[in-house]
Amino acid sequence: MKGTITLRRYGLAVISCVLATMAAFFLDAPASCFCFAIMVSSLYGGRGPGLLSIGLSGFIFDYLFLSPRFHLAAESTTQLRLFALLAIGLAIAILIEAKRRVEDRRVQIAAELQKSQSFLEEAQRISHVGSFGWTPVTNKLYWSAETLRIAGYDVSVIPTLELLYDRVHPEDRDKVKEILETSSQIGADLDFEHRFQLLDGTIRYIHVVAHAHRDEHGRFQYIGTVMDVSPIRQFDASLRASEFNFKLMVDSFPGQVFSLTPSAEVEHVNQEFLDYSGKTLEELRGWNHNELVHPDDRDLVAAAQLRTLETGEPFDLDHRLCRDDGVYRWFNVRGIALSDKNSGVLRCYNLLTDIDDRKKAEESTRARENTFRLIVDSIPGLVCTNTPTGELEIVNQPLLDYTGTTLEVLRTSWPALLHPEDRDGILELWGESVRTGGTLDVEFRLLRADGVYRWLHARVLPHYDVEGRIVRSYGLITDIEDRKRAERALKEAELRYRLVANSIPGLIYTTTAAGEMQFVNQKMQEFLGERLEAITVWTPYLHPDDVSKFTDLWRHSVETGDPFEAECRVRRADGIYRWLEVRGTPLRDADRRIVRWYNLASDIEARKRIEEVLLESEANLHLTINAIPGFVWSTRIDGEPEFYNQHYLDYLGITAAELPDLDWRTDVHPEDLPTLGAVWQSLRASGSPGECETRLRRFDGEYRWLLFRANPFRDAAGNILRWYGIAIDIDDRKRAEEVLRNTQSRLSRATQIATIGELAASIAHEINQPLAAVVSNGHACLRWLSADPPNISKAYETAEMLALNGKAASEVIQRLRSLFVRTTEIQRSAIDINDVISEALRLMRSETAKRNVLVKTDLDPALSFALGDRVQLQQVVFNLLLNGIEAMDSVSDRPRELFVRSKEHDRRSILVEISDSGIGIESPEKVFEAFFTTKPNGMGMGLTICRSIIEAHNGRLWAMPGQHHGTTFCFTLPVQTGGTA
Amino acid sequence: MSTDTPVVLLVDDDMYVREAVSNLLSSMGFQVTSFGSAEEFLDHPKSEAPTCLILDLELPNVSGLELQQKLVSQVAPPIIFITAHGDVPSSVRAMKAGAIEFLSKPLAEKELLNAVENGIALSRKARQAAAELSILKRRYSLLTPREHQVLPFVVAGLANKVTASTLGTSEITIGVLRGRIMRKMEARSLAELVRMSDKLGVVRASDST
Repeated sequence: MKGTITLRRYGLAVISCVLATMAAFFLDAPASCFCFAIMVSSLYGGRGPGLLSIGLSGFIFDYLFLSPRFHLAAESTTQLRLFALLAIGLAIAILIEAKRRVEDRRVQIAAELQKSQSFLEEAQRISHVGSFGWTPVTNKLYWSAETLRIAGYDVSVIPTLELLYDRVHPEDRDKVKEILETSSQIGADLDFEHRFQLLDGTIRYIHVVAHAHRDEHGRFQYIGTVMDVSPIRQFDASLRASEFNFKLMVDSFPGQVFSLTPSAEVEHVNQEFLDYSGKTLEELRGWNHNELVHPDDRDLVAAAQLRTLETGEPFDLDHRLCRDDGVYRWFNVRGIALSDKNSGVLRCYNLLTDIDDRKKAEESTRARENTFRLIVDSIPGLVCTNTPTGELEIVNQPLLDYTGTTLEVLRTSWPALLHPEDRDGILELWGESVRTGGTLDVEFRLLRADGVYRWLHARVLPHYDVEGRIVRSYGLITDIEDRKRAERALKEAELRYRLVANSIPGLIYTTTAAGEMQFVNQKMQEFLGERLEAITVWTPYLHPDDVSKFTDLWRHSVETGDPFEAECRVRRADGIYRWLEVRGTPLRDADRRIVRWYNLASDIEARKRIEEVLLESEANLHLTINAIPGFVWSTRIDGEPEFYNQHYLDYLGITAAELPDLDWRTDVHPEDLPTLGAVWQSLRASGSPGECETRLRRFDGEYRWLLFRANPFRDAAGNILRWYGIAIDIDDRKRAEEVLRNTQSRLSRATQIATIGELAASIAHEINQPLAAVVSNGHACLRWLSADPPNISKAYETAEMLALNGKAASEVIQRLRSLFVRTTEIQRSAIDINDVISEALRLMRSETAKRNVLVKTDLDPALSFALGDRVQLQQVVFNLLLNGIEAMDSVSDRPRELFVRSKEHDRRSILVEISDSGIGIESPEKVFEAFFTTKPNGMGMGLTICRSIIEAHNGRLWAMPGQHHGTTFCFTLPVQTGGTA
Repeated sequence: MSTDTPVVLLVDDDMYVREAVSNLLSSMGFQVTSFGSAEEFLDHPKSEAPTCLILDLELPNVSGLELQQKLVSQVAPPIIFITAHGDVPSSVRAMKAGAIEFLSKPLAEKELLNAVENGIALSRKARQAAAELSILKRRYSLLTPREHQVLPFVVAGLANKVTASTLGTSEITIGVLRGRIMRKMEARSLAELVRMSDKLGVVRASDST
């Protein structure tokens, strides 16, 4: 074949050369024709034929057309033509060869391209991935065949954007348009999914991925793939649906479910669990779910879970789990491990079931059972149950304890424990009860574990089922030994009492609750001289005067149940009435109902006689006491009034009957009550006689001073039985005392005023001083102001001084006023006696200056405060100082010295000495007497009053001769305890 | 403080009165130094300035009158007594002892001013006199014993001749001595020398002839 083609090609060269030769003859343009021939040969024959045609052409040209014609040798001129032809021919051949080669290559490449495109298309078809190209500016769109197929178009269709949008699922259309428009503007890459809806309604999920790049014109061009992902999406959707279903199932499961990873961490939890625990899944994941488990169960649960996670064995246990409100509930938890062969346990699934109610029910049942058991065992009785055939079934613990045997022994041989005397009877009754199904109610003796027979009472009740058959009988046995004994004792006692009643040397009888005669003892029968049967009522034997009183009292007692007590005269068998005292007490049963009256009548004839005598003597005494011109009283040992005589009662305005209700405290003057109470208390405590003055309110409301005296009255053993006392009205005396005291006070006042009068000059001086300062400063102030220029600052200072002067004047007046304060009561306060002395000396300064008296002081600054009345003490100091000054009036041969000293006297008092160097006094004690005076105008009361003041302060005032001359007056004052200066 | 500024000294034990009077005197323009007691006053150094002493009659321990007694011996300042309740005997005693005024409290402003001014004037005069005397005394001390002998004769107005014969010396000698005396005593005339001698208390010689 090949050979033929080659031959044809070479033949073509030959033919073309022949044709060229012929054409050359006609046309007379040999070179062009040969060139044409070479061209054709090269063009259609190839390289070989080309070369052949060149050769042939050269040969023919040389031989036929060049001169010498038909000769191969050529003239030199024509040689050039030949060579030119050859050269041109060669060039044509080469050119054509080159062109041909290029053509061959192109064809080869085209073939390869065709092949690879078919591969691509196949690949696209298989992988359901189409490709596309898109130039947004020109809106030129290229789709591969697969793309068209995916879009449901025929391969021949030329795609446009309209066709694309046509296919896009209506729901996705806007989205796709928006993506394409926005992306194409900025040249962003595409990667999105959408759906195609084909004509037949099929939905295809399409994933588009494209890359944008710029073409040579700078326009965006997208090259991308279109992937049909429908199968994947459909799978996803079904998977999701199934997962949702599963989750729904787990969540709606009426139990708590959760899964654990192999490291025991919570992985999944169903809704129920979340609702129960009140926590979110995240919270539960973050911590071990075991913390929800009750602390007591935690270890158990953790161990079980651990074991399951390690070995893969399931577990099943109960534990308590905390609810969101903090309440623990019982759960049954079952755990199953999911494992594979290679990696062991993958997961542990847990199912929890709420068994709280069941648990609680179980517990309460158990508790009830226990309680019941406890009740039965703690019944203070012996309990047993029996089968319908009379066999013992169950007994309680007390019964076993009582008999000291076991249940087995009791079942077989309980009759052996019965007292021999009771055994036959009991067994017979027992047999009958079993036969008839009747209730058994017997008393019998049973041997106790310690070998003692005790009386027991048994009550056996059969229990029937619905059909009326005996199912079981229940027996309760009670120990009645004590009751039995009591009954026996009672019977014996009654016999004894009757014997006693008859042998008592008193008249005894009993009556019914209604008051009818029941029993009369031997002695009474003898007293009345009647037989028991004949005595039915009392009245015939009573003295006619006593009948009504007696019957009234008796009726009252019978009606109310109060004990009966009466004194009456009863006619004895010999017809003489004798005084009897009848006492009756009711006997009551357990319900407090009166069963019987026991009565005792005793002969009190002798006592009655003595009483009469006593009454008479008492009446005498009463008369005496009431006639005493004073208040006579007695009280019980507790201090409450017992007897007040008539005078006393009259004073208080009450009657003797009101006395027991009297509260003696109400009539005592409120101010005196504490003192009286204290005295009375101490008397009663010490048991010694005593007295107290107090004010007591009279019936008309006036308080009068009374002196009470009390004396204890003791029995032979020395115990105080009561207090006797008298009270005397001392009001008049008291008033006299008060008048005296007032007089004295007024006298004291008078002396005080006299003293002040003597000091008038001094006082005037004291007031004058600050006033002088006021005047001077006033002038000064005016001068400062009227100076030129006015000296305001000085004037200001001066005005300030003026104010101080005024204040000083006011203080002096204040001090003076304290001297005029009218006080009768001693007002005690802590006093610095140095202050009092200094103040007095200050007020007397001009007096001493006038009289040329030198005052020296030695006041102890650390002196304790004295307790006293300031004004009164001032008065004393004034008086003593003035006395001293006046005593030196006649002295001219020596300095007139007044020396005042204060110091501690002893631990409890201070001492003040005032010494003068005067003429002295003859008898130091005499100066204190009233109306003793050495002064021409003196009252002679000064020192007397001073002494009374100091003594009222519990101090002492005395005088003694001075060391060299004159007199020294000293006084002491007790210091205030609890505080020092 | 110039030694010539008058000073008022005030002694009163009552603080308020003391301050008030001191203030009043200050407002009158006086320099005042006040004391609470006689002792305090005595402890105070004496001033060279013209002084007036205002003294309260009633003082503790040492009374005003006692203090006055003590001051008599010295060159005492004029004393004005003040008292809250002056009695006649006291005032008589005080005036007798040389007090220049006796005022009762409360002090009348005018009286006080007059009294103090009067006192200071007196004091100033006394001081001046004392100062002059001391100058004279100094001059006098410059005289020789012979000149001392001659001075009484000169101031007695005796002629040199008489003097010379009395002293047993020459008339010329007396004349020379007389000239020296005049020079030493810085007397410009015999009359002045006579006044000086009087102040010095030189007893004039009597004419024994």
